[in-house]
Amino acid sequence: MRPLGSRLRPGAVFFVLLAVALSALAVGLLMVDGIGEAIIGKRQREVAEAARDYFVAFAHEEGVAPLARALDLREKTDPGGGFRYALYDAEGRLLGGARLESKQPLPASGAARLKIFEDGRGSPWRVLVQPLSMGGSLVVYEDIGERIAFRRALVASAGVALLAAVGAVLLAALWFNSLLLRRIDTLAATAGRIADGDLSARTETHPKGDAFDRLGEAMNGMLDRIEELMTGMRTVTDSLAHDLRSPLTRMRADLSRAMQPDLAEDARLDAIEQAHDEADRALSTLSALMDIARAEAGLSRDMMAPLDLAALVAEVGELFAPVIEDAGQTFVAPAPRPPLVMNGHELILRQAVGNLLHNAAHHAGEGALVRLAIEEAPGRLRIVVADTGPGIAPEHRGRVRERFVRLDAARSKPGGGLGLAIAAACAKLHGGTLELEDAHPGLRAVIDLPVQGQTLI
Amino acid sequence: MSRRILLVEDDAETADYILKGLREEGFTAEHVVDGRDGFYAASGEGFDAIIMDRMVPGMDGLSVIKALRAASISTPIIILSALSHLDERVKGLRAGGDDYLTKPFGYSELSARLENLMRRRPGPEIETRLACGDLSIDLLSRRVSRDGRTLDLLPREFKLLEYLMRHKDRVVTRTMLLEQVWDYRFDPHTSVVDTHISRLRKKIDEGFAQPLLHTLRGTGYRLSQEP
Repeated sequence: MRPLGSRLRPGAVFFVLLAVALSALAVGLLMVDGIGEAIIGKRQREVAEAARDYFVAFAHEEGVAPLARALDLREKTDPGGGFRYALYDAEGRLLGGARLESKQPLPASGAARLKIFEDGRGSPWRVLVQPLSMGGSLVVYEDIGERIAFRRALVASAGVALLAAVGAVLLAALWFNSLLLRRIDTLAATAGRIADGDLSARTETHPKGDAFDRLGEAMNGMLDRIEELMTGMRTVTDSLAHDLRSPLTRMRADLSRAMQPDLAEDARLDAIEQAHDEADRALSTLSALMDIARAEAGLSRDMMAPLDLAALVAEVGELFAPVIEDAGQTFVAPAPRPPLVMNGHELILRQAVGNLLHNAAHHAGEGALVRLAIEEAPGRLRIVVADTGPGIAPEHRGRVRERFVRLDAARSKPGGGLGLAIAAACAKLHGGTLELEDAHPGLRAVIDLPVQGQTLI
Repeated sequence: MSRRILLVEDDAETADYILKGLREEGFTAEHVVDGRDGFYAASGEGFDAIIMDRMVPGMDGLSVIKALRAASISTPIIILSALSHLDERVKGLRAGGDDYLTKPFGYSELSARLENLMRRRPGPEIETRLACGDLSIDLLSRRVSRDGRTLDLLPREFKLLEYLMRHKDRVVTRTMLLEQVWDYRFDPHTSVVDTHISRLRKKIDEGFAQPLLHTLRGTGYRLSQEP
């Protein structure tokens, strides 16, 4: 088998998702940065323009010299705030304000971004130049170095965070991938063992487990059922061969006897009648198997209809009462009661109850008490056939419900060995169970039927 | 005029077996192989009963029966089928069949059921008293008496006797009794019927010169004054 890892790579999915998420994050970050920069830049520009307009108005009102003195004063008292102001004459000589130098010429008018030197150190500045009508020009300097540094730091730290996230997600994806493969490989190994013929293979599960444990449990449940069916099928074919061979062999012997030329007519008829009975026995074994198979497969469910369980049980009891009495047993019929209407498969129910009574008559022994009753419990109806015979040892109780199982290994008593299997299949068809309990002494066979949600009249 | 039976059956061997039996009994039997022919024959001419195989070519047996019933043709129909399981039987009866017989079957079983069906046909006449020779039962008071002596029967014995009385002089098979008296449709327990019969026989025949309840070897029983 090819290792699953070569075909299944859940990790690949993670890488794609990761790439998409990271790109989205990066784009988002750039957008935030861009928008932030745009908003801040606009505000700063407005401040710069307002200051320029104020100083231009000042120059017009008070003259150039007072403005130069005012700017000098401002430079001395408050150089902070990021804005600096300077006034130049027409030749470009500083009249007052900030003492800043640029290696490139300032524009004659308007804004520009330049490298400006102060005390020999250069940094990026934005300049706004306004020529004055009386000659010279006013320049507003805005120090944008800090802003740029801040943005760089922001982008850098975001980048580091992103890289760390990428690493963590990669590791998680690899770990998850290997975990996933390990869990799937376990399930696949179990399936492989089943495929190789080991029907008892089961996958390991933990009771409080995750989705894989639930999958494993479902798989184990399915395997249990398959194994049960396979074993059942094997038992059926083996037992069918045995149980059909016996009547057929006897039938053949009867017919051979009937063919003897010198046989008396009476004896011949006897032999033929016996052969006839054997044929019936083989046929009924076959029909019973069909009924069990259909009931077990749930195929008979569409034949269900409302029926009166009380009347049904009483009638079957009436049918079998003489058989039980002839076996030297005492039959206790169910107490008369009002109808118990439930949804069910009438024919199979009758047969199931009949089989339980038939078993009691044949196995409980002389002098036993055979009691047939319906017990009501919340949401359930229980058909009980209890006898005071030898009962069934607890270790055999599970087995007798299977097809063809008879506890007397020599199969001395007649009977298809299908009686309890039919009763069990009947119970299952109705969503119930067949319970075999100890009656202290004797056997208590219970067909436990759920009637939840059904109207009981 | 002898009674006319229509047989719809595609298996030649089974058909010969049934036809031979029917003719020996004095019936006029008509045989068709195809379901469609069966439908035309059954709807055209007056038959007293129809024996219909469940699976025939042309048109399947259940469809033929449904079509006949839909056309208000109420001739009694007995279905023959190799499909023995319970659900098939229920389907057959739901489709409008009157009885269902599983292959393989004995001719005597078929004959007994056929008689039963044709007799049932006139409709249930209201009877309050049934008699066979000096044995009589009163259906209202549920009293049974023979030769002036009152017999004490259990309800289940009364039910069985009533059925036998209604089929007086006719063969009833064990499976017929199981099905029609107890509504129990399984072969494994046919010996149960023998138990009931022997108990009934004890009560109605013991101590009387002439036995009324006869056992027919390999077939069933008959209640009759004739031996």
